[in-house]
Amino acid sequence: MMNEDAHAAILLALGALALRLGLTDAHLAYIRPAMGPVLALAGAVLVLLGAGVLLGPRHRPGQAPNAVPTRDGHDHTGTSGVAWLLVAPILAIAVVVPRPLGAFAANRAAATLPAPTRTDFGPLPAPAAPGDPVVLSLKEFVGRAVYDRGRSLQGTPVRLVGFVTPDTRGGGFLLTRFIVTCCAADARPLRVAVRGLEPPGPAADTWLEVTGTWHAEPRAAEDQRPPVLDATDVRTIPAPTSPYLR
Amino acid sequence: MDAAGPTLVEEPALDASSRRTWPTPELLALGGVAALLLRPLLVRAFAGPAAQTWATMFVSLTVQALPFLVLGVLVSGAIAAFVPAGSLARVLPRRPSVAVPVASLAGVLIPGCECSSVPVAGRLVARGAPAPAALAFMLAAPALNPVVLVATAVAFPGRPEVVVARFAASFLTAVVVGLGWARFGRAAWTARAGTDHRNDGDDAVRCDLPGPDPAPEPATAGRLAIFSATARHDFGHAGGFLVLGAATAATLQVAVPRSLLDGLGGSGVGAVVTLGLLAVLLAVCSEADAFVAASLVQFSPTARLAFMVVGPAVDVKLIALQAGTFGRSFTARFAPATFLVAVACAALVGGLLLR
Repeated sequence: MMNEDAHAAILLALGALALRLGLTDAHLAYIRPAMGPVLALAGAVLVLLGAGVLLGPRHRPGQAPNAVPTRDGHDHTGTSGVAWLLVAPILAIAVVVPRPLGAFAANRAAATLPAPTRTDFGPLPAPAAPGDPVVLSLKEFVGRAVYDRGRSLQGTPVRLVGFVTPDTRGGGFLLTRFIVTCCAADARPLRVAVRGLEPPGPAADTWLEVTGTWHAEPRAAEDQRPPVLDATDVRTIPAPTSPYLR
Repeated sequence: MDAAGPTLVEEPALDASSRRTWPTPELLALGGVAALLLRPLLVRAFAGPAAQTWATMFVSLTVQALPFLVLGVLVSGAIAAFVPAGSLARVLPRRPSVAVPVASLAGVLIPGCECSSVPVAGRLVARGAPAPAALAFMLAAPALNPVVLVATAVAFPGRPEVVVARFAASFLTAVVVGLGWARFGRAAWTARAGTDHRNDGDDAVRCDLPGPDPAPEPATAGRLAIFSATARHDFGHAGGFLVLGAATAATLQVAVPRSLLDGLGGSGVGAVVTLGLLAVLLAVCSEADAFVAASLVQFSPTARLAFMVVGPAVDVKLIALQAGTFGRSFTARFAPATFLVAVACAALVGGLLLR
């Protein structure tokens, strides 16, 4: 059994951390952006549940301890010891502060390409100014290179953002970005093989903005190799606030 | 003190708590100091890429499940406080052959993640709902709700038969498991959720969910107290097991990388069982599993269906939650049985619909 006050304090701490995660950008490393407000709401509920005990009548001086009689007649002032395990996420969120998934996780993910989420690709969007490269998400680029058979990408300079995963198969490196639907546990990496830069390549987990053109090559339907970008320019950038794509 | 005297004698738990009226600030302060002292140690321990990835997965799984668990314990608390004892048993059809399909269909209407449906099902049993119906609801709610079906349609564009197959196989799983439990299940196996907790002394991790004993209807203030006490208790309990499940799933995600699958693949029974097992190990939530399944292109459509049918019904996170809610003797029977039924249903429906 666990002391009711200790239990309430744990709920309060976990709730406060969830509230902070949900209200700041910190949750973007773990869950999809839309869940931020929901997480904050859940945190607020936990804060209320915890504070209700700590500030409740039992703690007001001059009052008799209030037993909460339940219908089955026994009092619910205790909680099983397993609730102590909730200290682990509190420490992990507040002290360890894990970073978003990076090259290590990408290397160990399956080497398959993401399934197509659409089948009709129109022409590429126009660049910001004539002559500029077209800014594409890695998802858009991989989708067009693999499932549009590269038709719309042919010859057009594009600019992509991702982090570096060392390429164990060919030269160069893999520009990588994770797609996350619910949380990091379902993350699937998108990869583009970057060629045309002299070694040594940038260090793993460095965030880059890469400009180049799609390396036009015929692909078999079951080909699972990442599409290739012939790079002309590489720039190091700070990690984006929202590390995952949807 | 005179008035409180007899209560204190009768309630040893209160006696204990009155001796430690203010341990919380000390506990918090102690915890804070310990965390500050341990901070460099912890940060260094999690600096390596594998440990860092584990920590990210662990926090992600916990944080993602948290809102759904809170929703689940609030519903559980509301059932405990506002649904009169015995009324569920009166309202629900008595015969399992009717009650189980009805409960499964009710799961379709209630959009719940697997993390909310477990405490709710536990509370339903505690309030006297027949266990087969509550279990069918528990299996159906996370797999069949509209959010999951839409996500499946998005993950498999232009292939509505995958959505139909997922719905059919998951519904079949819920009904078969529910009816099977009605036929072969024993009341003792779900007794942890439903009866006096003092009887299950053989179980190391015990749950003291309130039982369905009839008692005078309490006033509104009493109901609110029951509501918050139940929600708090259920959260501490289910949350503890959720942490256990999330830690296990994070460990497996790091220890069993999906790159191991690169050499595998295929379309036989082996592939169906492989992806069924993978769903158990990865513990991906039901809204996202269709996208993971869609990326497992080297496997047959039926094997990928098995991934989506098994995942919401049984995975390491759910096994921990169910063990916490219903007890180990329940989970030891329910989890393997559900796995087999889910794989069989996926194979059957996949064979018929996904060619």
